[in-house]
Amino acid sequence: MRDCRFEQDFVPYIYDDLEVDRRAALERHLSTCHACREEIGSLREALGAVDRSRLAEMADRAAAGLPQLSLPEAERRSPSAARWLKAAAILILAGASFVAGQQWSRLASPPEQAASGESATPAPARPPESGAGPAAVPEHAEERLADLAAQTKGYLRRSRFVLLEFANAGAVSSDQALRNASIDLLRENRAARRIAGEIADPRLDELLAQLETILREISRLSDPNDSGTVERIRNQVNDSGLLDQLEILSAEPARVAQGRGRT
Amino acid sequence: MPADEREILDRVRAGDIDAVQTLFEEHRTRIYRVCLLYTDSSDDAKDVLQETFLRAYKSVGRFRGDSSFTTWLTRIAINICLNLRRDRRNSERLEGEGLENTHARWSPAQAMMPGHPASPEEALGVRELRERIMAVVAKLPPRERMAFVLKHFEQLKIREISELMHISEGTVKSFLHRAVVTLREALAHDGRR
Repeated sequence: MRDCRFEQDFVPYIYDDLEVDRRAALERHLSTCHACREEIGSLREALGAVDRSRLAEMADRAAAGLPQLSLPEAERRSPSAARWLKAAAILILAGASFVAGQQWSRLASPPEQAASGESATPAPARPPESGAGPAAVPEHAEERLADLAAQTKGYLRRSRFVLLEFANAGAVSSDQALRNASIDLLRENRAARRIAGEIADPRLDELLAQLETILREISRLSDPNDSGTVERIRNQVNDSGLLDQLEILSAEPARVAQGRGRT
Repeated sequence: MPADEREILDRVRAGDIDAVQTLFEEHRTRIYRVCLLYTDSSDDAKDVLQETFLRAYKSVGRFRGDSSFTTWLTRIAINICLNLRRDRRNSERLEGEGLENTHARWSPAQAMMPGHPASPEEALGVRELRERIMAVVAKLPPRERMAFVLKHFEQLKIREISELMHISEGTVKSFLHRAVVTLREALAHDGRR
């Protein structure tokens, strides 16, 4: 069986997901190769063990235990853009806070208690990370600072995702979606720097300036085959320590804002 | 794209809150299940679910309908899952800690619901088998693991996995083969101990 040319088709064959011609060819081979028949049999047995473990059933139960969500009634009126975005954030956070707040053993409890968007979201509703604008920010100073910090934190986290994708993935330079994401982040960078100014965090401002430079370079990549430029930017991302700083500061602004709010 | 899906997406773009909720409800169970099986952590699955919908809401205006909405949404979740693994590996390198020390593992045994008590079969070995399989799957390389989750648990076609993960069908086959061989060898090794 060793190095059989059909080897990569064994698992698709077991799953009955093999092209007709390849399946026919494999079956012809199997009719004469005892070793490959045994190999397929043992792979099938391994997959059978996964089925017998009822892992899928457990995951289904956990997923099915997620409650229905309902939006606060007030958010259903006047679906202006800002309201829509705010409601979307509430909807998402309601679901997330439910999952975060529950133990697995409690997943089967009646969903009604956690289903209310308002009751399941004890923290103030966070505006969407795309930046619904200053109107969505609470007026109270402490809450507002915390809210601004949360927006910045989300921005840093999303920026880190994009840079990681760029730094680690193979042919990602040809991905238009990545360039689009960089352009979006670049647009948000200015707002983030305004926030950095407002919460008086020079370290954050410096990081955002560094980030802006890299994002601009990625967003300007017009030739996916320009491996020299891709490599240069990739090295810049990896060597600058930007990813580590993004990770650190994406956890930090909330604390900074809270500290400032108390003084 | 089916007409009803197109209609819902049009409503979402127009700011219809009910349509947002419809979309969320329709997809979150499946997305959450994939995330849970992939990350094997309820906290991580929750984070990925949240991030997936945030990204989707933000960029739904750019969704052109070249693929189905389900495919598009799943692809977002997959990318976040894969990045999450990279993030964790990087932070482990920084902190010198093992995966098991940095996040709570999902324990499906704890997911047993009241009213669904563990059966004798469960007590006698299914649970142990499940723990062993989860441990093996958790150690698969991220892309192999994702391909295996999508194939075995979501029962997607190889062609669909290829589309979702932006890799060739040959690569999907190769990932699946390696994953199942790893699984078989680990189970055999455990059996010999």
